[in-house]
Amino acid sequence: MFVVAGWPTSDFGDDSSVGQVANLCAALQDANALEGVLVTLPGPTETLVRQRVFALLASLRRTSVPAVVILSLDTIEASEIDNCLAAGVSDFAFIERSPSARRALEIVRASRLPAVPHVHVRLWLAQDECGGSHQHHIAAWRSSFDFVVEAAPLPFELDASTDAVEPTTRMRLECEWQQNVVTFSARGVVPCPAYRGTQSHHVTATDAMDVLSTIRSWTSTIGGSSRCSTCDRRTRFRVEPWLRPEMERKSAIAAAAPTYHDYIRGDASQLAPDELDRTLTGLETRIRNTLPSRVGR
Amino acid sequence: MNCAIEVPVIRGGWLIQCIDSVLQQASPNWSLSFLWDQGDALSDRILRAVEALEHPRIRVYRSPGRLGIARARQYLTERSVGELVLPLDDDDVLHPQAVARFVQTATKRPWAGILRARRDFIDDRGAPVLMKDWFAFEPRSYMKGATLDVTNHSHPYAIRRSVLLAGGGWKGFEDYQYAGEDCTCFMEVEENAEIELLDETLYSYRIHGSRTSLQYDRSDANEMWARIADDSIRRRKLRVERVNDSPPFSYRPIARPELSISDIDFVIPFIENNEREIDYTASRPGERAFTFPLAADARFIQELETPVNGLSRLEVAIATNGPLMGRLRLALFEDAAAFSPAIELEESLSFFKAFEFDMVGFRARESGGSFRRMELMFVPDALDCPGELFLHALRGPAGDNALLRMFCHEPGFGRGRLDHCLASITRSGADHRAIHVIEKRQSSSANRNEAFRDTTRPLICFLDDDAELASNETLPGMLKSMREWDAELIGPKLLTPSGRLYSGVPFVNPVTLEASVGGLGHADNGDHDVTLLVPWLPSTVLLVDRAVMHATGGFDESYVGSQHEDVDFTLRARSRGFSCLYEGRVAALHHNSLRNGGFRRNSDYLKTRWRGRPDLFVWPEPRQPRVSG
Repeated sequence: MFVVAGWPTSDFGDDSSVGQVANLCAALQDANALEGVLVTLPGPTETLVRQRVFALLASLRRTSVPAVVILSLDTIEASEIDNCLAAGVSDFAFIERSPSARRALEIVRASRLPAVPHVHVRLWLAQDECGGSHQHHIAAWRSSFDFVVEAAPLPFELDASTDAVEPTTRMRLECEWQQNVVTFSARGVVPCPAYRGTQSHHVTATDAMDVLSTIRSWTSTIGGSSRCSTCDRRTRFRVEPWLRPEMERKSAIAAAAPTYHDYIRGDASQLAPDELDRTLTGLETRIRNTLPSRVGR
Repeated sequence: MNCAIEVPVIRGGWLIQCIDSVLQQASPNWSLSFLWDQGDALSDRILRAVEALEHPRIRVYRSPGRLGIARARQYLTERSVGELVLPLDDDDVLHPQAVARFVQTATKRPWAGILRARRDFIDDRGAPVLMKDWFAFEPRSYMKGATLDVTNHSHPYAIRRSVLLAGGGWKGFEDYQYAGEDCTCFMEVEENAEIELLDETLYSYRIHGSRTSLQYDRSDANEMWARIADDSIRRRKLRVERVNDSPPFSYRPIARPELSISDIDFVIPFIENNEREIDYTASRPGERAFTFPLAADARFIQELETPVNGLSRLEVAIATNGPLMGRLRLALFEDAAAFSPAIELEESLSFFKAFEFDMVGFRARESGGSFRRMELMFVPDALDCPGELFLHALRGPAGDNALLRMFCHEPGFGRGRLDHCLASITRSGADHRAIHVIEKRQSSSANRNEAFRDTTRPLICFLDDDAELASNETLPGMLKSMREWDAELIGPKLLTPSGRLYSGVPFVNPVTLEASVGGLGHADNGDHDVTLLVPWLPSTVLLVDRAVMHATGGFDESYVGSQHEDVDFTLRARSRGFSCLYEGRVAALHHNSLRNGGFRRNSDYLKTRWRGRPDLFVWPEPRQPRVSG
């Protein structure tokens, strides 16, 4: 399950929302029900909301909940990336919709991002065309930065002035927001991130099982159809484990992996005869211990 | 899947650590075999102690005389069991996750012949030695099929046994005590499968004063590498020659001689198919496409543009947005206003995940009747599946038309198509002895690879049995452009029998990893009459330098049926440094009556296979023809 917080930005709520979302996320994670949190950054004029977003990110970091900050490269400035970095953000998803990569590339280059290690960036392209210019566009990004470049998996309308997304404008990136993604706003849990209506379902419990059961009942409320009852979006968004880059997952595995243990240090041919006898006896014992009849005793 | 860990033994100094590292594997999927290759007394003593324990997964062999490393490895590989072979040196140690990770990755990447991971370094007491590996750990580099970085290999690696044996097993140089086996192995495996990198450290290489490799100096190593590179050029029948003496090697292209039609072998997989496609406007994707949701309460009703007679099979194009189970129903009516259908057909659907395109077929048991209207509806199963079914359709001037294909039974139709194909080849001047028709019920890839083994000429032209060379100028035009552009693969523009475009310029989508062709269904107004290097080529009519087959191992037989295997083949050719040229100034006809039930499976496999090579999903670097046309 994913939690989408602050979507759209004006729905982020008050200070109490920060704790509520953080508690919800921590509880879901304890119940192994959370993949991660998507956080949208409000515009630079919404200072108060921004503070809340950064407070939320700090809370999530403390509980090790993976979080990604989503920024639209069409509207932000380099300083805003720097602000996020200063707040300790290490996972970004940049959305890019312009036909040319030039401005966005300049913004990223002008930020501190290229100089900061261990920052993971996904570049989500909102257009889905096959023409040569699009390919050059992608090539420009791939040749400049070590970002993961891919089609945006979500429909994005980050402009706060835009009302509910017109459901017929997109075919391929439409989402179905049912069981896998929970959008959290000040008004509660809503069925689709593009939805800004009033028919949201409040989740106040912080106990994970209560949350899950509430979400299940909400799911049944919107009907058995996989279509979102509110915005009529059709296509299910298949959640991929993309929140954490491959390298990071691997290092987490490596940290937990067993390490090789030497029972003998150095060249056995240099051992004294009695030492070599003991070493060989030890090896025989270790081999015997892996015999099928010994396993499990 | 099991991993056969194989250790030729000549030293006993660090053999105990080596054995311990296998015993400490996290995965139990291993067997361990030793060949005592007339080593020192300590190694003999240790192996005798191990042998006496009669561990069911550990075997000890003894050679009557010193075999040397390559022959020792071959000895062990011939006697061990396990889909993966994991070579281990007697003074090194495996990390505990090695077997688990190799087995796991080999399962996920069935196209891999070798899986190579990283190593670190330890000293004679097992302490870490912080040093940079002297061999690169990166994808191999090629120029026109020749490997540039022959030294880009090292322990640890797991080899798929079938691929190792297909390449002839382990080989080394007699005058270097049969060393050079690992480099040769990598070179031969990449001629049949892929070398895949597993970016994890799974092996510790011991730095000590009695390493075998210290017996050879740099000039010995260069000599072996040069021989290995030259051998591979001969095996792969490449048109290059090596120009320097030490890796990374550089190669000079050898100009292609003027070739004629008599230099081409023609390979045609033939599937007996006595179905003729009924003309229908919306039989191919085109402009004004949309999807119609086939919900439980919505049916798609369509009047057929002309009455359909003798229907034997009908395929509709569908999509789903999630797991789905249910029945798709088709009703055919003899009259546009009829209340009762003349035929009702039903197909069970069961999908576990979303997809954007696939064809589902109905087979009509009774083909009599003339149908003027059809209705499609979907009845979901009682299970609450979250997915919805969508029908691909095209918006037409007289109403919406489902994207579908209809077929009627026509005895001898398939063989007639083949006859047209063969006639077009012989009309072009080809010798009938150069035509290889293979008629086996196996995948297109398997058919092409099998027929290729009977060919001898420098060029191979793969044709589908339902394709024809449009004119006697098609092959000469392709030969001329192939030489001018120094390309190793070339394909023409493909037209439908009615003269519309079937395939214009091929392209790929770097984000979705989908391969497509330009102009499908459009009028052939000359927009695609261009010559340019492209990311991939369809195999409907594909002229290939036989070096490409030798350097890549041919078509991947993991693809079922006949779709996407050509995308894979041409991408692999490009990954080996060959060029794909689209020649739109000459044409071939494609009747395309083939059915493939594995479209989606093949598509998924292709995307998984190439997800890590975004560089191949961009347009090739443009260049001009070498010789002025």
